[in-house]
Amino acid sequence: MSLMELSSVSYSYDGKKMVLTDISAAFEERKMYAIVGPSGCGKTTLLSLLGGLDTPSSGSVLFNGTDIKKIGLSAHRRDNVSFIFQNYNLIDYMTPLENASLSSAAKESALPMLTRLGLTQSEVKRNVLKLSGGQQQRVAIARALLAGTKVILADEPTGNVDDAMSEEIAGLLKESVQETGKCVIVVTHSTDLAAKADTVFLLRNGILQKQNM
Amino acid sequence: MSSFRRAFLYVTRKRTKNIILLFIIFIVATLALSAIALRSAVETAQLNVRQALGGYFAVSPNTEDSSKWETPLNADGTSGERRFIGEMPSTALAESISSQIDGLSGFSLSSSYRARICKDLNDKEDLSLVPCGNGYVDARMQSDIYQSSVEANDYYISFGLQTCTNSSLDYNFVGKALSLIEGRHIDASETGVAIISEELAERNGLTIGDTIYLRDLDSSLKTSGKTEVEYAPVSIVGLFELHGTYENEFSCDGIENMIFTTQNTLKSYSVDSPNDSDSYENLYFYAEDPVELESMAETLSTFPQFGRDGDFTVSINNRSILLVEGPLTNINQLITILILLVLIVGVIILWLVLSSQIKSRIHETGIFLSIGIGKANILLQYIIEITVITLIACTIAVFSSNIISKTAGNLLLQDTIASVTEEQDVLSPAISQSLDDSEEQNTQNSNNTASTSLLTEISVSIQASDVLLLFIAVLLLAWLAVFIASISLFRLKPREILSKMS
Ligand SMILES: Nc1ncnc2c1ncn2[C@@H]1O[C@H](COP(=O)(O)OP(=O)(O)OP(=O)(O)O)[C@@H](O)[C@H]1O
Ligand SMILES: [Mg+2]
Repeated sequence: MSLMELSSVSYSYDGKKMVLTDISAAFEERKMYAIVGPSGCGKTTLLSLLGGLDTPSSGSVLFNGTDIKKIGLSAHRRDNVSFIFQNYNLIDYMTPLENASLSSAAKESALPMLTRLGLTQSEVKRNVLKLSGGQQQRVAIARALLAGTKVILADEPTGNVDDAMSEEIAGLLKESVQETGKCVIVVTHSTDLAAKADTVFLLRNGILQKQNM
Repeated sequence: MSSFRRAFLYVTRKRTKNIILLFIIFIVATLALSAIALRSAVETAQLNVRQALGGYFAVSPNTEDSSKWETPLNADGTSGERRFIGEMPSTALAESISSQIDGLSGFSLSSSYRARICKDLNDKEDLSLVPCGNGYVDARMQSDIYQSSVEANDYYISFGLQTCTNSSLDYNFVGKALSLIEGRHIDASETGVAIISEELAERNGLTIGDTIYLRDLDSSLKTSGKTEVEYAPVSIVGLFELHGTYENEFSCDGIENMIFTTQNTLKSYSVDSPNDSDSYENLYFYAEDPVELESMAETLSTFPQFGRDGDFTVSINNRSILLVEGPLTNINQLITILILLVLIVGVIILWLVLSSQIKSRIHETGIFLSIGIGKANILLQYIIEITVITLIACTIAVFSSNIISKTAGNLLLQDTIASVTEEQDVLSPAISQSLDDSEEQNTQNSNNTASTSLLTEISVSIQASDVLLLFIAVLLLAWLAVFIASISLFRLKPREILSKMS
């Protein structure tokens, strides 16, 4: 049994034009997946369905073989998946430390995690908006890692940062797969990032195809 | 992270937003509390004034009925003064009325007479009147005219005598025109007791326990054909003081020169004493809440003894109450309108600001939802925040509204006192024209003056229950605004929220 599964998932915003049509795919632990495809093909939509931010028009999303509707979407988001967004999505009235520990009960592990991700002692207590884009993305990654979920869903995590930082972020994601056995599903335009994935999917015309590398 | 911790971070970090909110709630709470405090102060004042003014309704003999009058012959054969021979109010009448009308707090029977008074039977010199007349002939009336007049007119050196069933229930004391400062009150069962004014006591070197002697006026003795003067020893058992100032043309009409005694005392010496000592000129009834006087008087006027051909008439005296109530009622209406306006405007503003603040937190809400924080948990955070802010704002408002309502209360009441005084000035000539009994005029004046001094004593204070009520009201309002604004956020799918913000 796969960790996460898409079973005949279709999705349409307006009930007429299908964005996703009859998609089935499986995602395993200790693996990194990349989803690539042209702009507007439905990558973010697919990630939302996996993360329980929305429900498919037909078909189902399974976690450990159970439909996430049965688990409860909110519980699924809390216990099973974490998001990393292109625009970081940090809480502006919290410090990096507070943001990182937002979704976890273990406050103590936030500081070592942020330090490991390269934030200094003064940076972790500063207003989170007074950090650079790359630093903010590392706070978001810390939050996702600290949440302790098995799946990390990243939507263009390197979209707003320079090449050097992209490299670093890609490294961090890869590391979490190897060290903590997470399943990372990353949507990206970056070929460098996609190259680090174990499996690359191409989404086009509502159809998800595994790419041969 | 718990919702309490998130709420704490929001309240302490988002200063501008929270200060705006705090300020709005503070203003609404201050105005509402001030208005509530003023309103309850005015209401208390109204009841105080009503009770203190001691409005009453009076039962009097029906003197309109000409068949109840006779003209007797004097001792010397000439025709005497017309005399009323109809039924007079009595304790029996008072008690029967009391048992038939609910809400009466008491009654008093009284009659007015005049007496000359001395303190020494050796020289029989009349007590000196307290000068309180403003007519320029007043002083001469007391000495020159009496002494030089051939037709001895001793009215101007005599004293007003009020007989009563119970002096503590006499309308002068109930209405707080007078109050007992020393000694005790008297009642109908006693003989040879009197209460006099402190001024009169001082002027003549009298104190409680001293004996004075009452006698009839020469004119009364002459009418009755009696030649021998009788002196009745009367012991001073109480002293009263006056509240306010009173205008009299002659000192002998002044309330300072009025003494209170009993019908038994009068009977012991006077030719004017009625045959039945339980027979009085006036009967006054007081109500537990004077507002009901009017309906009580109405009920009474349907009784068989009352009416055009009956033995008695009923008249109501709540003029002074109306006089003071008018301006107070105006203040009350003003405050009610003010409260409503403040609440409407305040509620709208608070609602708009709060909803827009919550709706602008769509980004934050989306993030919370995306990391699996439940809707109830998010709502709880927002509720905790507004609760803390409301609590702080209301606490500060208690202090500020205290200051504001006191200042406003003083200003409003000053206006009221001014207008009451004005109305009094307008009314006074009317009173003196319509009432030729100068003692009644005294009563009118004294009641008004007493009410004015009472008004200045209105205390404006904020009740803990008012604060609690306001706090609960503001809180419920804020909670509702937050709840409804949040619901409109939660109706969106998390994905929609997140796509809206990017
Ligand atoms: N709320 C919406 N209502 C209607 N259509 C939508 C909505 N959101 C997205 N779409 C449409 O659905 C399609 C897929 O959108 P989606 O955001 O998933 O694309 P994407 O692959 O993530 O694109 P990009 O690479 O530019 O981020 C697009 O054609 C888009 O116009
Ligand atoms: Mg996208």
